[in-house]
Amino acid sequence: MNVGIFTPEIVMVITLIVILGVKYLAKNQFTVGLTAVVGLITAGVSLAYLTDDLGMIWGHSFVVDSYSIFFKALLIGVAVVVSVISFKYVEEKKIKPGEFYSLLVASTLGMLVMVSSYSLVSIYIGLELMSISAYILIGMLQEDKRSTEAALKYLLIGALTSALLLFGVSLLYGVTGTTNLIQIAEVVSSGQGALTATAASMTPLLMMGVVFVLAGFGFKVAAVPFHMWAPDTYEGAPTSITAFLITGSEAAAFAALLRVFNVGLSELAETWSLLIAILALLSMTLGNIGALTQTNVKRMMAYSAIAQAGYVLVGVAVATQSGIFPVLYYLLAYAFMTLGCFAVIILLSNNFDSEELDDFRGLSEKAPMFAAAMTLFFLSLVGIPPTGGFLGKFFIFKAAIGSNYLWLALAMAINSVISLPYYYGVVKNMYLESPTNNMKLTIPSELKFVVGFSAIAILGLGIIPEKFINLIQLAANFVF
Amino acid sequence: MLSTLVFVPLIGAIITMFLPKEEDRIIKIFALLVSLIPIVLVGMMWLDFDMAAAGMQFVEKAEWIPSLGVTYHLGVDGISFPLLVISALITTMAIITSWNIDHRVKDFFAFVLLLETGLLGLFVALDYVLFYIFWEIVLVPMYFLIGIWGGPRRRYASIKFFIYTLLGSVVMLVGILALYFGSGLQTFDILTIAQQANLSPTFQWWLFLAFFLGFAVKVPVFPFHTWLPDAHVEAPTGGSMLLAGVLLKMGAYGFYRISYTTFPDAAQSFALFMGVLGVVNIIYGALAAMAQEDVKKMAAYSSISHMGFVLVGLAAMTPMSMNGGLYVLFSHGLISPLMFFFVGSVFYDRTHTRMMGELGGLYTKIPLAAGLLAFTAFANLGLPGLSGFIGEFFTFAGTWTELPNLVMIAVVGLVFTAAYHLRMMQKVLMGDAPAKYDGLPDISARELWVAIPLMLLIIWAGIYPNTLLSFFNPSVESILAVLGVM
Amino acid sequence: MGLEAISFLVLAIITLSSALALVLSRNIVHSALFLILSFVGVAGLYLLMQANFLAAVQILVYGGAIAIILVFGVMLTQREDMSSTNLFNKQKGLALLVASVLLMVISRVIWLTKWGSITTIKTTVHNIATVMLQQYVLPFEIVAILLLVAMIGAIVLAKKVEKAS
Repeated sequence: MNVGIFTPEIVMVITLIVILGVKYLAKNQFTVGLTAVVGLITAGVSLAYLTDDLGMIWGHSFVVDSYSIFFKALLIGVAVVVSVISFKYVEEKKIKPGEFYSLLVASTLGMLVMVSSYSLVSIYIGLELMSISAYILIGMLQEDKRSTEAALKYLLIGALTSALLLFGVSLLYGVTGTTNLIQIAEVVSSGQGALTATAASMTPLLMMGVVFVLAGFGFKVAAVPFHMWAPDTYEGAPTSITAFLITGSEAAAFAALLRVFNVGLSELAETWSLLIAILALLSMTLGNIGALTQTNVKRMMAYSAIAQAGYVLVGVAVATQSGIFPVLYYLLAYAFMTLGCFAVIILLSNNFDSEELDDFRGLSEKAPMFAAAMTLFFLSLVGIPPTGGFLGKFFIFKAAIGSNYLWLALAMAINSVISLPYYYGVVKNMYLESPTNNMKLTIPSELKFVVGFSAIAILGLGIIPEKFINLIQLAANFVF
Repeated sequence: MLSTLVFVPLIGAIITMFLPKEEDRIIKIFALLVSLIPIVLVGMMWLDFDMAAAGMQFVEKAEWIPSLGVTYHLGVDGISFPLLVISALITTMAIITSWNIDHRVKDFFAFVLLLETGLLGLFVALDYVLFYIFWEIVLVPMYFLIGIWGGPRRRYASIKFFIYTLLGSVVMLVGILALYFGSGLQTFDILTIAQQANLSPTFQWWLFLAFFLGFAVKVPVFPFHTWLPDAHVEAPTGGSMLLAGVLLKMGAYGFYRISYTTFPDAAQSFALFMGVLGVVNIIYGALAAMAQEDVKKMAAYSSISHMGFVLVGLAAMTPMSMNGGLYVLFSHGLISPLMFFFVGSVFYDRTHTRMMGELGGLYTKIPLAAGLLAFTAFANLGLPGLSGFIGEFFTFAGTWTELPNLVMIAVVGLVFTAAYHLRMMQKVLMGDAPAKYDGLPDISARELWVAIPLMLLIIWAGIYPNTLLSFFNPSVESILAVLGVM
Repeated sequence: MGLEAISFLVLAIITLSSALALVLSRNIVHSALFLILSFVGVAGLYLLMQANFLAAVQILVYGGAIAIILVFGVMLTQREDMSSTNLFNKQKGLALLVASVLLMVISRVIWLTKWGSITTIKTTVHNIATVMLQQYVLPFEIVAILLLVAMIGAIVLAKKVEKAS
């Protein structure tokens, strides 16, 4: 047994414990945050050594493949950025730093487990670790009622989700007699189940299992009609945690979703593909329409995230290998643009203590680079070339057309147009309105760094994508 | 060469952003110097330009995103080269015109230079992705120019401009994607698709429609024109000059470069439709111009009217009419900026009004400026010997053999055109001047630097059309060959 | 109908009706007590499936420890009248609708499926140990961290109460 393949996870656990210790030793809040960042980066670096172990499978449930390494790198990256943009925020909002950063690391650990798992049980446990840490993180703005409401809502609906997912898993287990995705695939295709009846004769039960598992993941990625928690939760949560949920939690859920459906249930693709296509259509349409009338930028971004999840689901609905690559590409670009946006939102949040649309007034005069970067992120979210968002959408579009989902591709195009006005509203406030007050913004240098880096990454993904395409194409192959 | 041409202004714009905020003068001089570089480069290209060749010259081609078939493909031919000349020239003129901008100077000139990159890039792009990117790059700075430095109703105007053009371009993007997937060639190369794609007439018809909507908004073709008067009136004068001089050419250029060469069958079936719209543009624009009190608005409607000639020329599909259409593009690219320069800058800066009722008798007060305005108005109404006449004459003469009925209706528009110009001159220049206009300074040296070069070009293009026609003709003939007309 | 089927029916009715009562009761202490009953019913079902170890754990952990902690929690935090401590909102009708649709779907699926049956029965304790510490050792370890997280969360929340009072 090679324990080496767990290095990132082990580093994360150590970080988690060290943070709790540092919290009592260090007087300075930054030290705690810095510990988290150092630990996360160490875990990220250790990923590089995993490339020697590509294709390693451990026991019943854990695999090292380029797919999982891609997602681990992405998720650790997200966690690092979220920690960095939280430095000032945690201080301003009087959040307890030790608990905050350790829970952040724990949540990331859960995600890492999810993306490496090929057993339903460990996927479920990873998901729970991710979610339970998130419940607490969301409620950490202790003086803000919205934060408590957000946490409670997420907890209640999260518990329901878990129950649905677990019920689905139990049905799949009941029919196939295993939780291992590869064995499930074998049973489904051969029809030789653990039960005396053949698996084929259990199909209705199997389908119900699929539907429940899908619903469980649907909640986590905030796809319509499982989205009703998202606006309140994303609005009420600490801003950096909203970014963390939208990028990290969603990416991890998509990673697991893709693996479960494409490895374990690929034989049933005909059925779930259409279901996911419907979810995709609903998510992007209702998400975009919901975002149109929002005045709180965090809430707007929440609806936008629902819509974006819809675009990604189109890639999932394609249900073949050709759909996986676009999803990965889009999630990568999406992580950058969302984190960039939220870094700008945090800047305002730190300065004005709110995230209303009006706070963006005159940003182009107060912080021209931030305003320009925000415009770029929005262009990318809409899908205008030459940004990473455009290419990501284009790949999804291409995959959808390639597998006869022309209507879904058209819906994507129409939805991109619907999404224009609400992004435009922010841009208009930044450039055409004069500022409501003359307060000078204090701009922490770590935010400058994050925004600049994200902007460069978005342009890089859009203008010189060939290298990324090759790498991600590599990552889009499962071991199985 | 072309890459340098396209990206010099972009680099200039980036450097401008980092210049110190307070040093207005340095920023302006720097922007002016940067804008001169494209003029020099275009001049050098002129010397090397092979007049006889119909194909692309100065071609630069490199793999960009091989897995999608996106290439970095630039090239210039007889259709695009004169437009490059105009883009480079008008940008410089716009910068000189905007010398008295004092609000957010740095941003203004950075946006103008960025706009120039978009325009130059658009006219040399030979790959759909590149074409679309430059198309969008043009949109953004123009929006901000109107929205930040515009007149009192700038917010309304900029939003209208933005929404119209963006909707048009999104439809075009859908068309591009449909073309990419429909052609099955796995390439975005404009020329390759034009030559090799085997598109069914019905598919062509839909694609032509998608591109038509994108281009028609920019031209602008009636009934997609309503953004233009607002945008023109509210834009700062430098912006109006670029808008009228160059941005309006993008749509027409798209018809020549893309629609006619890639969808020849559909072009045939759309021809009459476009011709009729062209005539509507000519007459409607002229009538609307006649009704305006605001001189700038009159000039805006006059632009709509002139763009109608290009459409008529395209519709007839004869060598002469197509050449004439391009000639109108070029000549309008010189005259309309000059017109906006006079009414929006020279006269407005002195009198602080653009309303014909409040102006009058300026010939007696500022004779030189008034004379130059009269010159511009005559050029615009198509006085023989000036460039406007050649374009209109060629267009109508070429169209006569194919669509005589249209020409007969359109000629009525010429009468209106003459009428509104004369009305404007009468109201602004003739009559008694109000006493408050005593002692107005006449045109300044800086203003002459804008006016004289443009006027010389107008005269030259008016008396020696061969210079331009030798650019246009080989390319026009190759388009007509694709259309199967020749 | 054999003895097994009768016991199943009885246990199922106990489990479900106490679960329903738990949801509908207005007194939170009653709810807690119904919860215990429901847990015991489930333990009975485990026994019926010859999972005796699991049944014992179910009674000890859920029926015993968790339920007691729950009741303690209620008693320590709730000071006022107990008669209407469980909160209700006005969406009963909607909930009923959703629940009955779900019921119909599930019944339909049960009806459509051709069921088989398992005859092999193993000793469970040994199997559970093997499975948990070999096949599923990774999730098992992760659960440890999950508990740590839960503890941190509890502390965060408890501190909050202290601050408010």
